[in-house]
Amino acid sequence: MNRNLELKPLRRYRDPEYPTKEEADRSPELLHAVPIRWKHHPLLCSVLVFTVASGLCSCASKKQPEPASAVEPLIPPGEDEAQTGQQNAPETSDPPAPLEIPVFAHGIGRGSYGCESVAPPVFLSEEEAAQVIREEALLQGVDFSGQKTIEAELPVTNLYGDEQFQNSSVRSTLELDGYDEALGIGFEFVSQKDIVSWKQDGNMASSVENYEMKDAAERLHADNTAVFYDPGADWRAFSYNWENGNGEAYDAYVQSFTENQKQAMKEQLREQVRDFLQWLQGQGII
Amino acid sequence: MHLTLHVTDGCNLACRYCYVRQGNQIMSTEVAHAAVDLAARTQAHCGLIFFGGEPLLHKDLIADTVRYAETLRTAGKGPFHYKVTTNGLLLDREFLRLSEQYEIFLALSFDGVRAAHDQNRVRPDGSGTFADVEAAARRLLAIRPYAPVMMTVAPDTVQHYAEGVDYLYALGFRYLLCTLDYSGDWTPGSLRELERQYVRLADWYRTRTLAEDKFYLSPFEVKISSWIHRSGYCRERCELGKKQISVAPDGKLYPCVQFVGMEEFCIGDVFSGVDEEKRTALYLQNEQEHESCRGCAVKARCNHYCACLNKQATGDFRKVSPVLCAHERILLPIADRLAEQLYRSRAAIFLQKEYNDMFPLLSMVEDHFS
Repeated sequence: MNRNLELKPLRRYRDPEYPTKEEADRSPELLHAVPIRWKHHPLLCSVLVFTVASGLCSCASKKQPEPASAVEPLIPPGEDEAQTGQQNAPETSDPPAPLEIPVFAHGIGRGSYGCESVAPPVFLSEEEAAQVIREEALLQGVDFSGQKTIEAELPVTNLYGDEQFQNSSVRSTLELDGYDEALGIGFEFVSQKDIVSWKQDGNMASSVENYEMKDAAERLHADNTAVFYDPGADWRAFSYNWENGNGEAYDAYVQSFTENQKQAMKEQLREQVRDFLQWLQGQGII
Repeated sequence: MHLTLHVTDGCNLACRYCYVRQGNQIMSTEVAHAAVDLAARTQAHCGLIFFGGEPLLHKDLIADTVRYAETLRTAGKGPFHYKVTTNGLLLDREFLRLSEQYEIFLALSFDGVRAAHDQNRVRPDGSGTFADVEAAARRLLAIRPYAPVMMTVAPDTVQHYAEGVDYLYALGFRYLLCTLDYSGDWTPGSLRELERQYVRLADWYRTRTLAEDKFYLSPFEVKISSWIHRSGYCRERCELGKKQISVAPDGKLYPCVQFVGMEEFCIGDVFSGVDEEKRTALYLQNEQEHESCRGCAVKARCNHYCACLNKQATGDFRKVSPVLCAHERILLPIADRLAEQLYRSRAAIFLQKEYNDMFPLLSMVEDHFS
């Protein structure tokens, strides 16, 4: 063995952008992608339809078993392509109308720092959120790995609830957090960091800082852009027994609380993305 | 649980990277039967793996042991499944018939193209064995089309890695199990070549998968699986002495193949059974977090827990091999990029293989009726 080689632990490694089994199990339509030669094999088609419909494969078992007819018909590839081509053929040469994508609400979308706050603030970072959004979107074939800068109506925010900024906005450029080149649709995640970067200071001051991510998301207007927001933590879940002191026990509790909240917030964010994807399906875009 | 029966420590080859201390010990019928009895007492499906040295030097012993296990099975013990890992030189039609009769799984050691194979897999006189092993591979695949091939990549053959995989695939192998010679003299230069080879292999894998070919190429499959089945992957990792035990020719038990003959690692014998205290102590030692890997972001996806491999590479099963570490750092990002591309392409065979629990059944139906 070469003596010059050394162990080099990796301090950071990105999460891969393909789903884990657990994530894929929530999208049974993933398995509608069937090898071409299987489609020509009647027995295999029967076994596949049976396994999906009867819930024998785990991704089907998470839902009520669907009738066999609900499974994508296993049709020869030529016909498949012909159908797809027909569906995608443009009917007119007019440019498509810009999409106004609604904000899908999952999570209260607020958080605060300061003396009156009863729980430590927990927010998702831009990176954590982008990972969740990209993963979930990829499950439906939406690839947000691209980049794009657009013109958008950005909400003016204020950390102290100053009413003069409640409905203010500014026209500005916005570098999207992700963009699907093929669909021409991007996404923006409204994070705590965004609230700070969009804020304007008024005359008010307070020892409590409020971060209104949901409100800001609803006031952000950009064509062909899905706007998601930080769902925020559930402060009611914070129930530390102060008799244990405010030393190590408190730190350990806060760490555990933060981890649990982040898990729940990621799940709420996934719900936002799933609603958006369902909306896209309803529009016939995917 | 699997028992690996080291039928002999003798071999008809003198492979340059072999870690077995060759000798002339041969397992007796009495020891082999006692090993089967021990396996039968586990009251569960049990694998009997015939290993060496070269196990086919003693085909009669293998045949006798399998027949003995089958008599136990008909008496309600077991069931058993059988596997032989061979260099192929003694793989004749008679043994292939036996493998058909008792469903003995045969794995062939074959290092790919001639330039790579003959570099290390040589006879005692130094002559290469490529031509004979290739002929054996054809005989094997004619009868056992799903036989796995086991390819070892050494620093002096790494430049033939991708070419070797392609050659073995063209020959007809669909289960390609590739490993490194971790004890070899790997240098930064040969590791850079290894990276280039993995990039080529990823292209190869992607092209074949998009063409909807079915195959298993272990380095990529294992790393991709380590992400897809995250928690499950941790459970699959090395459990020293728990899932598999090696039986030396003299009947002594060891936690894995690298430890055979080392008294300090002996955990019992086939007659008196497993010394649970010793086995558990070794297992627990291996389960402890490796200090050297503390804080590593990919340790849950890494093979550094393989005690056997660490023993081979560093001489200490608790000491992680820097070659393994380098290999993981090279392979992981390439495997992840490959999987991401296949996922984005909605490659049907990839999605079915990785995410459909029923894929083995579907694949079997396809193969059986095609």
